Amino acid sequence: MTAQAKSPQVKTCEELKTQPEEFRAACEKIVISHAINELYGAQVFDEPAVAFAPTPYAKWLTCRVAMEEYGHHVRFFELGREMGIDADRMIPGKTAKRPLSIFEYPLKTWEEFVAIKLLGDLAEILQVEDLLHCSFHPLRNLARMTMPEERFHAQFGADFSQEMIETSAGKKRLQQAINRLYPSLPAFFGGPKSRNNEIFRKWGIKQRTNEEMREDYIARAQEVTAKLGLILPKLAEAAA
Amino acid sequence: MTAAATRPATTGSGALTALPRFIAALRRVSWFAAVGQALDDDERHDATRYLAALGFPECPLVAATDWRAAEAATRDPDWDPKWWAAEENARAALLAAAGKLHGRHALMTALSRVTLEASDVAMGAAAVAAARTGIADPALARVAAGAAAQAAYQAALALTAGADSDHPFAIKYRLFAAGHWPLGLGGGRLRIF
Repeated sequence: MTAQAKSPQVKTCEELKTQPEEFRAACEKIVISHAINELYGAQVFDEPAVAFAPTPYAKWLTCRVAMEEYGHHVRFFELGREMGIDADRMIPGKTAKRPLSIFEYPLKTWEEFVAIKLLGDLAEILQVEDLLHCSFHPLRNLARMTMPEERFHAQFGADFSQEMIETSAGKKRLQQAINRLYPSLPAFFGGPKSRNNEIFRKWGIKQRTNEEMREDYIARAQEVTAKLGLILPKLAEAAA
Repeated sequence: MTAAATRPATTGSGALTALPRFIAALRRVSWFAAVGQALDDDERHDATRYLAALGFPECPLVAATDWRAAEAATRDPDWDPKWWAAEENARAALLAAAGKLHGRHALMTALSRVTLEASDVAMGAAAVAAARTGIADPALARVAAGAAAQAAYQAALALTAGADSDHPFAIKYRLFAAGHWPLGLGGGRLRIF
């Protein structure tokens, strides 16, 4: 019997309160992390990108995507509140928890934003995918609700990438953006032999190890960039 | 449609407290209900005043007749960025004024609620309106929803800053509330759907 098969199936936030401390704390960690990172993403990438977008079509689409990312924050935040998590623990600037390192990357161009949607949101898709069979059902259901929008965001990156590569200058700028951005992305999946990840899997909250997810991410990132005739830069040993 | 939906003109220190009514009214707005239809005299007058208030007094109007024409207008690489910049300048001025009145954090929290609600309501309305003409395009529906959410945000900001009903953002919102979608300036004309 696997660890997941033994894990409880918790259907409500009320039921969660009766579960072992380790399980509750693990669910809280994931919800807090998503609440913080969704808001950070909207603030540091999506909102500033509106100014860089080249046409009203791209600007308004980016506005809507920013609202969807913000909406994800609100959903995770509301779930967190239902679970009894303090509001301040889920708001960047109020919590001591640092956001993911990718959010420290200052956005300077439209090409960078498109590369972030293409490859950064792909990383987000993998994270949400891993929650689709989560043993804490309110979190599982939230992941299922969020997934179509996450897929659209990655498609946004693919569609605008496709437009950019139609000119050699555009393709070159996009490749440069990928070269700058991509090396920091595999770290999105956490370190190997992570104690947190071990606990997540023990309780059936998540399904895969950080290493498995990183490996899958790299393969899928290679696939989407290859389709566009683009190349992923080599990763440093530490990042890979 | 309620007055709150069409006339964001409440002034004074109570303006921030008027936002819950504004948000509630977003669900009663006729988002995209009149796209592709000719503007009536009152709407043409509003569109002209909107342009004049932004600094484009002589700019004529041109209609986009269907969703694909609207998409093409918003994708036009020769669109006029001065129009966007004029709106951004107006936004910055309102943001400074409203921030002084209400405090930055309270203001941003209240405006975020407006955009989130407007974005969701308008997304559904845009998808339905486009589907009625045989267009199923999730990206285009999102573009429309983004434009509507921006207009609602701008109108709410004008409301919280105590601007009157002649402010360009109040006028622009009335055009959305009437079921139209101003697409921006291009080729020296305001394109409107």
